Amino acid sequence: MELTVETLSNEIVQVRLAGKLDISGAEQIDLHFSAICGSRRRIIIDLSAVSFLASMGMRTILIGAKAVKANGGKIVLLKPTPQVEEVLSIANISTLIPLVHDVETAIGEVSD
Amino acid sequence: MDDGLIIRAEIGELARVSEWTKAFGQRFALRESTLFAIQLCVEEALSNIVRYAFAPGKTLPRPPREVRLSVQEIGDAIDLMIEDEGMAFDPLKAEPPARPTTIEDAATGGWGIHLMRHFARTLAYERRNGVNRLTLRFDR
Repeated sequence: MELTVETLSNEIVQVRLAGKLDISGAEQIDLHFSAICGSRRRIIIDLSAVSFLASMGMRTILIGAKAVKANGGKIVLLKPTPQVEEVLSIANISTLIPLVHDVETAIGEVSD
Repeated sequence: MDDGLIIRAEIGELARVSEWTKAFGQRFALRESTLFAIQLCVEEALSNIVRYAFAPGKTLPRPPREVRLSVQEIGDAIDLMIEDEGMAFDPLKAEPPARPTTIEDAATGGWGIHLMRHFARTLAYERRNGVNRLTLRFDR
């Protein structure tokens, strides 16, 4: 699992995850992802390159999202594959964190 | 045709399981969606076993603690069996997490069995002679 960060503006960052977000993948990104969610307030999580998502991966995302919300920030999930979106839906994550399919809408979701 | 794998109950072994599922996915010519469902359910089941089945302080098998997986074609279905000698635990009795209304209220776990119920056609559990056996059936 890889995590890369791109700054889109002074406040918005796009976090791109790539690979399998299984229990190992979640462990690999946990620290870095937590640090980003603890320090940034406008976050787009690009899931387009995530081929697999299981509970521990969702846990990492949800804990990060809670931290962002607690800081008064906004977070959005971008372009999950259909299978990953199905997993997010079954766990009701997609009702708690906005889920969009294009960058412009994602930017709108996290902007004031 | 049966196909089996024995792993230690450790997170590091999950990569071997992933390779094993990919291999039988090709051998049985499974659809991508079926393989995804199988891999997800195996991940969820094994995550629970690795994290909870062999909790310290219980009278349990000495290390190495093993998990046995096997897969079989049954007509238009694939049966996946996962066996461990950990603490007795019937995943079918577990309640799904409450549906959250806010992100603050949302539980950060407990979805594994809920996901298995959705992605597998059927789940079956039995415990015999100190062995937990979970059988998941998938449409091909």
